[in-house]
Amino acid sequence: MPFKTLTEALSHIEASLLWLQPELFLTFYALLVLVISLFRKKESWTFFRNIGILGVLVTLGLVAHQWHYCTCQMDKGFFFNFLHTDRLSIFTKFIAGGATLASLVLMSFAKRYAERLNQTAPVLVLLLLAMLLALHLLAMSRHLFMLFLAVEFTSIAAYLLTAIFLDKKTAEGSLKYMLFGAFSSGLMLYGMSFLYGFSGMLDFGISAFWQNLAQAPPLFVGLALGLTLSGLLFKLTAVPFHFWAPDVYESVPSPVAALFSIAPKAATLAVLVRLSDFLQHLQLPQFFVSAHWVSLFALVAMVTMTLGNLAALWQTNLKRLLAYSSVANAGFLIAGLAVPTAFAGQSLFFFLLAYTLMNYAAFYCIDLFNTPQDEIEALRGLGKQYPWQSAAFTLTLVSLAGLPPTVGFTAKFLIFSAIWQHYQAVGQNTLLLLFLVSLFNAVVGLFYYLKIPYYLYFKSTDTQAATPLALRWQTGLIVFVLCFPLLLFFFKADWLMYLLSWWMAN
Amino acid sequence: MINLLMIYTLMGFMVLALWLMLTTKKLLHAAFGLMGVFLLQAALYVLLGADFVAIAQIVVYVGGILILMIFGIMFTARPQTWSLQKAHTEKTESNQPSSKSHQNLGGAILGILILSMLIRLVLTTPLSRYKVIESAENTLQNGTTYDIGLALMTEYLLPFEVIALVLLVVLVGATWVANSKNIFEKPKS
Repeated sequence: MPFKTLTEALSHIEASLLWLQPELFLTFYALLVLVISLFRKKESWTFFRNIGILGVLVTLGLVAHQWHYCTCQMDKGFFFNFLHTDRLSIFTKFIAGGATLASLVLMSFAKRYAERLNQTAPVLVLLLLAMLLALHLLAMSRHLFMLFLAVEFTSIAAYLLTAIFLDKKTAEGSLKYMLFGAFSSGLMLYGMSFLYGFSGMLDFGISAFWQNLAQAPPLFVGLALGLTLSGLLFKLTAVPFHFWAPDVYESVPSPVAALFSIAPKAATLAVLVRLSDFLQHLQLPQFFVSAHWVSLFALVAMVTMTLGNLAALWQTNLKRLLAYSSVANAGFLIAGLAVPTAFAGQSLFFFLLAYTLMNYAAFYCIDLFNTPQDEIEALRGLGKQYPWQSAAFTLTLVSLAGLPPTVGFTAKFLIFSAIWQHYQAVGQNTLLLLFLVSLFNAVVGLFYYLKIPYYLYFKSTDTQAATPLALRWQTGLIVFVLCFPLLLFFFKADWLMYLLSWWMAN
Repeated sequence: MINLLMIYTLMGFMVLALWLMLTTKKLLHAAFGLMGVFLLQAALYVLLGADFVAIAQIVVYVGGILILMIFGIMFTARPQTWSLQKAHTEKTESNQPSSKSHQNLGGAILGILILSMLIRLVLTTPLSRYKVIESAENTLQNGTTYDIGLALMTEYLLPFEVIALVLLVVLVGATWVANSKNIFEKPKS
């Protein structure tokens, strides 16, 4: 967007700053936390947690304020088209902010992290805020340069979040994370440099970008687009970019693992949905017709959910199991992305919301049972001794497996029906295959999710290794808050759907 | 004409420096060869009219990265590993030779494939279509630093600031990780 005079450019920046309020606030707040941490070194986790919670709450407020002013009529690209604001990006910011808030709160309610948290409090809060900022930028980016920067920022914050709890396991996890991340960032940057070479521009929200791409040799354009997507697939933990997930989830505290499994995925999905939205609404050459995208995403989705589920079958560690389950669920999310209908978009976000709820509940249940090294074996026979905790865990896993009466069933059902509807409308065979593979995977999922309730209720042991938390009113309240929506939104799924459509309606 | 002659001379020296870097058996000599390559590259940039890139090249690569590398070599390596030959033989003895040659073959095939694709791409690209190149040629007369400075403060302000933030976060995190080595010696449950 060339500007004739300097004054014009500066006034454009000034106008754009209005749309950057939450990000500006987060930046200054994070710097403030940094300064405070220099002077109040001895403060405990609680002090810094409260500061962090305050910051995230104000950010959420500013995001809500933004939502209020975001209408259909306005020009959505701002800051020289680096960023793009719409209902979708604001929705994603809400998910990211909510997830960060939940992580901050939940970390205090697991005794086993107390020592670690007190040691790392200031830098942990700072990094969580930085990651939230990075996710905001990722959710809004519509420019390849900004996209790369935001992906890198998110990844770096995540590597550091893994690395700060220094022990052998986290060192291994964070190093693996960083090496995989660096590799896929390299691939992404390589692909982007080709795209820039072919099109001469970086803003993928205008049709000239795609027009220029169509004139280049299709093989190379396809390759470059694939390479560019690989960086995003890494953030989505799609196969073959998923190897880091189990090691990282195993080594970080479970609320952080829950954050890793939700927030970056939500922001990346926002970018991909925006991309496919652009592809549908811009006047595009024949090369970029949606059938190609459908096949590509359907293929990635099928591979991801199948491999994720098969790997999960052999896990003996709770966190590794949930990590592979998050890979499999990423496959379902990509399946929702593959179908280019409005209903599929809504089901996708329904699934995302439901998955957020289930995942936080599941990761909190791991902390609740507090088994040594998070082994599944140690859960033997705890079902009768700790009825409420076990009921909560079982409910969560039933929801993750996608059985009624939980929201997990509704979410999977919506995705399946979106695929089926589009198959009937278009008759593309890939979609039928995707539908069958997804169904098969839903069945495979049952085996490993229900293994845990099986250990809880049907196995017995003499020696008890786990030391579950007692249900006092605080932990009880948290378990209730996490588990109640799983039931509520099954019986009242239309409430959540209504909320979503009200939210997205411009 | 003189300009072109100088460019080719510089390129010749650059090839020599690269040759020194790749063939020498002493690590420090290789580092100095690399320095030669970087400096000659900067000179090439000046001749091509990219003054800002030339300065950045000297400041970042020669002044920063290369010094870091030389420091790294001098502080960490034991004198006997300064020679690359020894380090190489030590390494290959511990590895399985069969799997290594297998990997080498695969790498070579992949490399040749990518190279041939790139060459084909370069040959088939009609460069005249790219407006970016034309506009870059127009700015050659008055130097690029002024324009880059303006662009960084207007159009590219946001990425510029975001990079600053990324660096800050990295710095804080890296300091933390480097400082707190002994907090958690034994793995916790």
